[in-house]
Amino acid sequence: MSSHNTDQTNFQVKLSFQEINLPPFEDILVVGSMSKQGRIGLSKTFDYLVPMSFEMIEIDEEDVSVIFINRKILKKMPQQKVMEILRDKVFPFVSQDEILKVEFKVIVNYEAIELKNSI
Amino acid sequence: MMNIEALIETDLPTVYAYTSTEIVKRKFLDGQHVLKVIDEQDQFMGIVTAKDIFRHPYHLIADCIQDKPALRPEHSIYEATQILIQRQEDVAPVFSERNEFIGAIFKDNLTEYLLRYCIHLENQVRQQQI
Repeated sequence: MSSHNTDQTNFQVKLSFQEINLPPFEDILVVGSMSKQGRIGLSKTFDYLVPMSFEMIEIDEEDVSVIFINRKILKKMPQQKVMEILRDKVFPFVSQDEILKVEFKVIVNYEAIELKNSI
Repeated sequence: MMNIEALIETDLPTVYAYTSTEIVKRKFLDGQHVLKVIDEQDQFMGIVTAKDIFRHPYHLIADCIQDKPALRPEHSIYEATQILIQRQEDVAPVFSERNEFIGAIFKDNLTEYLLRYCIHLENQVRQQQI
């Protein structure tokens, strides 16, 4: 912490910095139904920052109005499945006036891969 | 009954879609009733009323636009009034056959027309009775 003295006033500055990425989430954003940010403003922001990266899904629920899902997730998992997980595990915790970022990492596993012998 | 064409207000004040809701609130306080919202390409996005803004407290006016019944100039005054009452709206946009925005119809203007029409009919009945 650095301090600076003038004749009458003493200033103190707590200084720190770190790198951030924009938008400040990677996977999923859940927007509460009474959030100050609406779907048009948010989708426009993402269009400018990371064009074509997020799928906007409007939701007709009491607490959630819209979600943004990274298209990389939807390449690995059907939207319906993602929505089921969110409805069950995330939506019950969303307040109407908040925006939640959700970390949603998909790992694809194959039990066994059979290969036909072409020889 | 006559259609709504003569009652369409075409000269609506315009606001850019990504304007702060706070600025628009001030316009309403200054006496505006309805604003036409346009995007960067000057394309019509919708119309907003003070009610829309207070119903949904978003930061941007584009997010406050609510679905309103779309009318055609061919709608009768009776039909338009009924639609606005059923949907509990004070104003509705009017579109041409090519879906271009023409203007807006206000419930107040429709009510005023119907009131005058009612008085006119009453006078006619009275004259016939004399």
